Amino acid sequence: MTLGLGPPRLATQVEPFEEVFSAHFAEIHGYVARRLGADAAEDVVAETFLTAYRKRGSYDPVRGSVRAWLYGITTNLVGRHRRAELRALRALGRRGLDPDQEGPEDRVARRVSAEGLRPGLARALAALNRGERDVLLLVALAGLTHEEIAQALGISYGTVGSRLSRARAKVKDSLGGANPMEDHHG
Amino acid sequence: MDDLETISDFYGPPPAAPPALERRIRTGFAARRRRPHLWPGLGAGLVAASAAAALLVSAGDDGSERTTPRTTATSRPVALDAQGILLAAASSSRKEPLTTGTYWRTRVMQGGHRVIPGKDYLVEHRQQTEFWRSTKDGMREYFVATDLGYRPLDQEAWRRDGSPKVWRFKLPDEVGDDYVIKHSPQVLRMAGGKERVQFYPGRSGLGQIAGEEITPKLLAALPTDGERLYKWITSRLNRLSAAAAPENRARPAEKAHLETNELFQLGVTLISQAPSSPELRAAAYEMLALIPTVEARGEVTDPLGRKGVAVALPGQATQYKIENGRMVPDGDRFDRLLIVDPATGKVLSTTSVITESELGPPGRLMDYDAFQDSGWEARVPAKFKHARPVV
Repeated sequence: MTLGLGPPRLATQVEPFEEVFSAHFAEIHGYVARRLGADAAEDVVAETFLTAYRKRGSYDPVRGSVRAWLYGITTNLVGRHRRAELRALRALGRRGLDPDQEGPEDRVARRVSAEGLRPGLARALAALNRGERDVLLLVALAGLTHEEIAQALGISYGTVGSRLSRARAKVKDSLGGANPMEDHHG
Repeated sequence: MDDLETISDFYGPPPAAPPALERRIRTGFAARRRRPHLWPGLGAGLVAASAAAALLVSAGDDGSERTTPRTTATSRPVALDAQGILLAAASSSRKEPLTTGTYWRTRVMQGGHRVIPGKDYLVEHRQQTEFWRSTKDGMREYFVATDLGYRPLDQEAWRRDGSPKVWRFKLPDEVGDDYVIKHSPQVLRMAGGKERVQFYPGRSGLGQIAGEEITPKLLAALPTDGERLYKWITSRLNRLSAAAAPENRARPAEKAHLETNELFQLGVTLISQAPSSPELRAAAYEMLALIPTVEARGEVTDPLGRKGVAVALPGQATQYKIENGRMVPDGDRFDRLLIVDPATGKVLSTTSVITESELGPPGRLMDYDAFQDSGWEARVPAKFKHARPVV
């Protein structure tokens, strides 16, 4: 992976960071849009890459992949939209949309409801603490490994494991512990 | 389906990323890149800090002659034209014996000038840098750099200002159509920094040319004849352009400009930076002589006060912006100068001088790399064990 710039202006014309952006833009966008909806995702994704661009000098490849580093930045920024994310999840948990709450988060809700409403799951996700939800969704939506999540969030490998197992236990309760397919397609 | 898949399913498939957003972000990069002089400290410990600081300038008068020799063309005509200078340097290079080693070490003083809002003098940032280029593919390449801090270019004006050793100021926000860049408070210090050693993880420190990484293997494969080297680059650029999506292709007007820039850049890199054989260095000089727009600038004094002769690639944009998905030269234009010692054909310095810019008057030196010495080394010093990767 080439990233950032060398000391001098002695070579190269197109900055390698453009390559990093091209390689990860769609993926990061997909992740954020799933969590926050397309509208809020625009700002979060733009800020993720512009922050990464600004901070590219502090990225240390010894500590992990560029991908994990970008997910770390984006997770922080998603955190700023926590209330909107929770509102959307709770709205879903009530099995319906509040017409007075017309906001970007409702788009998630609408889209999600089209996929198949799971109020129990929505409530369970809303009930997780922030750290648990971040770890769970980095696994479930982004497919990051424990190690990558540890790098992304700056937490220990062990913490990733314990947060994930707590989060999964809570979510499994909401799925009734049975085959979740039953009530979904059943 | 396990619980993780159920969660993924619950969130639905990822929606497609909007092209408008992609453009907006690329515009943001370009906007940040366009004003490198505004970010002297891109980040603590950032390798690029000096590079950014080295690209600095702004409006206002300067009194740089007082402490720093400027790169100024004399009015005295020089017998040689650009082609003559370059071909003479090529023939000097071809006469040199071929030598080899494990690392090619180059010591460079990298400098740049910038204006501080409200001050009537310029300051110069300098960094002492030593590059260790490898001669085998896959070997680590290093550099050792010491930030020498900022210094005023006009001592008297600086004393009138109260002889500050630190300059703090705020730059106005830049507001674009769909972005705002907020600058953090700027702090320039006279005090330099500690020496740092860094390596380029998994790539060449020389960067790319025409889409190819400049590796020892590539250097060995390059034509050692100026005309063939020229064609090698242009044919690769054409291939790259043909492979690009139509909307990303350079417009015809930009193409010649980009091509010339790329040819000049590679030529300068091969001559001044790369562990090139004498034959390859000669070919690079010959190639520069084939660029139609290269012109002679006569006898000059380089930033370290050494006499030489200069050839220039005039009016090059050193920055590019992306407009509607295309890379286009930015409004600011600079001359790129290559200053050589006519006696030996060796490079003394490369500099950028303002041609047309809101950043300062034409003729002002913006940044420079002054080559001090170079040579072969068998092994790296023990302190390189603690080298940090370059991002």
